[in-house]
Amino acid sequence: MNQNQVNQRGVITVVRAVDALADEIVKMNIKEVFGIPGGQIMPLFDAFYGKDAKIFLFRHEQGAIHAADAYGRVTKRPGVVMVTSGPGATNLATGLANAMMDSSPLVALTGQVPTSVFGRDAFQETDIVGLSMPIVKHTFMVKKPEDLIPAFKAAYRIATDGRPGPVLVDIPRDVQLSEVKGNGSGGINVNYKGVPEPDIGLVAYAVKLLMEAKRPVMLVGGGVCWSNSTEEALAIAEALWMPIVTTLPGKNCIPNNHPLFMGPAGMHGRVEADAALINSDLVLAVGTRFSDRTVGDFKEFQRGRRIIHIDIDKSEIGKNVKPSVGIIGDAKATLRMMLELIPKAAVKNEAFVNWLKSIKEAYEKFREQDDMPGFAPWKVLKVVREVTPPYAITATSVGSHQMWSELHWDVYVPGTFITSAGLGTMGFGLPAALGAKVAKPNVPVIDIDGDGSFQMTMQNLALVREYNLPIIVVIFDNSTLMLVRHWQMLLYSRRIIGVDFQANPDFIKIAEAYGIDGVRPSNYDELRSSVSRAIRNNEPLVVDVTIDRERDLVLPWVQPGKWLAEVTLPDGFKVNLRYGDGNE
Amino acid sequence: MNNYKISITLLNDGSVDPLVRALNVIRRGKVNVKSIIMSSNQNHVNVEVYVEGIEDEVNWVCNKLNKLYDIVNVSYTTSISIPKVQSLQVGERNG
Ligand SMILES: Cc1ncc(C[n+]2csc(CCOP(=O)(O)OP(=O)(O)O)c2C)c(N)n1
Ligand SMILES: [Mg+2]
Repeated sequence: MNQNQVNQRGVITVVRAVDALADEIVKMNIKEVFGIPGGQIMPLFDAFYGKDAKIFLFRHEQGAIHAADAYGRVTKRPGVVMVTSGPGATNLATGLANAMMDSSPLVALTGQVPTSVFGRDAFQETDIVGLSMPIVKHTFMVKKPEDLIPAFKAAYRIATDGRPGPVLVDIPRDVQLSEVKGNGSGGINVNYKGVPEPDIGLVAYAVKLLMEAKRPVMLVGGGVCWSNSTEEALAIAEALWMPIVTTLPGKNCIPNNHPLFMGPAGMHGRVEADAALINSDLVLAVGTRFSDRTVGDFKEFQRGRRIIHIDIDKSEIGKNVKPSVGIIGDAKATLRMMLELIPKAAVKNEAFVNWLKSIKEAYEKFREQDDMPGFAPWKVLKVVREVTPPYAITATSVGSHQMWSELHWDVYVPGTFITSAGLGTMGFGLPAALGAKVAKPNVPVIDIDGDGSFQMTMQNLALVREYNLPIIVVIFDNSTLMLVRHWQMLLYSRRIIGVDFQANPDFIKIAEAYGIDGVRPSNYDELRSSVSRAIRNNEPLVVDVTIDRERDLVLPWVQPGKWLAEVTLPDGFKVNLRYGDGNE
Repeated sequence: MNNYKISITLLNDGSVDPLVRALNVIRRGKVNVKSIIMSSNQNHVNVEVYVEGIEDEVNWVCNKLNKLYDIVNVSYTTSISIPKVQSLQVGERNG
């Protein structure tokens, strides 16, 4: 196939591989891409000239890839990021690992030095394919112009094939510039995985175990969002009146105001969720990889309780926890099958749920009475949540502010809470919020950030005015890397080192430098009115909330490797976590 | 701890990338690699990895390998005696 075209002056122009790719990208209805150009990716940028796709120019490649990651989470279609070779490509490493850990679909297009100088340490040559292999789903090194479109299409498909994740396509400059001859896809040979059908025999066995259980608990992971199975999960929980606990990504999959929702369990989880798991005799785990952060002590978790594990990824079954029954399949299909088999008049253990709710109420009451001077993190979240529409999207960075959000930010609409759970990447929040805003321009987007995290990617604030992306950034400004400080206080005998900031910049001035209003509220009313005004007027805002680091201990907290029953509770809050001690 | 042979068939794309990807997975498994034998033809690369470890881990490694997009087939068998490695002798002679 000769793809040469005749331009307006009648001159025959060569269709470079990148021109064909840019056309294809537009044809695939990919209208937004993120990135930063440089020598080796200039042809691809050039190919987008005048095309019906918008390039969002970030100020650091890490920002661009986190935005693509969030875009993928919000739209469930891979975000696309384009960067140059060498430093452009290596700046993607954190973002690739982040997307991999949180199963987020994206395609990274990296420029590469021309094939003629491969391996010669050419200017800005980095073996990004070799570097990224262990932290992505798949990589393509495109060696022939004919392979460029097939490689991109395969990458795009792989990114959401089965369990989502990032795919990298490395494109040497000479390949980008070469004329496409023929329609070859010979070099691109891929074994797609697809989604296995759940085994009906195992599903029936799982239902049998479920019906035998006295205190079954559902553990929901991020896979429930990806398979769009919130409804099915709720239907099963309601049929058995089974409490639902979640992982950190799973918090995003269940409306947090549902009566059976007990919150996330684990290291920074809610006590009622920990209590549910501790006292369960069966855990129905859906779309989760059983992170050490959720379970703490794997041995203790397996003692005296049956586990049903449903996951799309075969390698997750039995990886950390050995289930009584492991079902490989899409969560939605599997839960639907289970639902069919659950008797309509199944027994409901209301007493167990009521007991868990009493713990929840006691904890909430304790927090309300706790009058921390200045701003209390949980109350900041409560106030901001009250003035934020339920459908708003929230992104967070990583640190104590994220853990407070895990505990106290209510997610009402599944899919609206974006956080770096698996990799725990500081600096994720702001670019993720920007990516979410690109994906859903009409939805308010809030970034809950830490002062440390914010400073890692804050240069991307420039995009707010550049592209009219009015997001709201709430900085929990405790002048420290609080979560590390927390560990130093509780695990390293208060030997505080290398965490406190003596000279933080003025975040209000930073905001103003980017043409954004900044406020430093002195009380909750000011906080409430400034955030609600920004939402009402669809205006960007940076809110600098001063928090006393000496009092910013995010509790309850389960020490790494410890069993949930060993949870450290906030001072002054007592609760018996054993069901059946006459306390129900 | 037992000995296992992991047999892997990969697509041959004319590069060592599929092989490196597979080895990257094995690197993260809790198994000791005793020997690797590899051969290839135009379409496929065949790799036999002799490892020592517990079956659970070997199984996990195989499940992880199975996720790769250039994997055609993965399986493992138990109680295989590890072949003597020719290259070691060469190394000794050179050293
Ligand atoms: C890129 C990166 N570097 C280091 C860490 C380790 N770490 C985890 S939380 C944290 C503190 C985060 O500080 P900040 O953003 O101010 O949030 P805070 O804990 O104070 O709320 C650090 C340093 C990390 N998660 N990511
Ligand atoms: Mg901080």
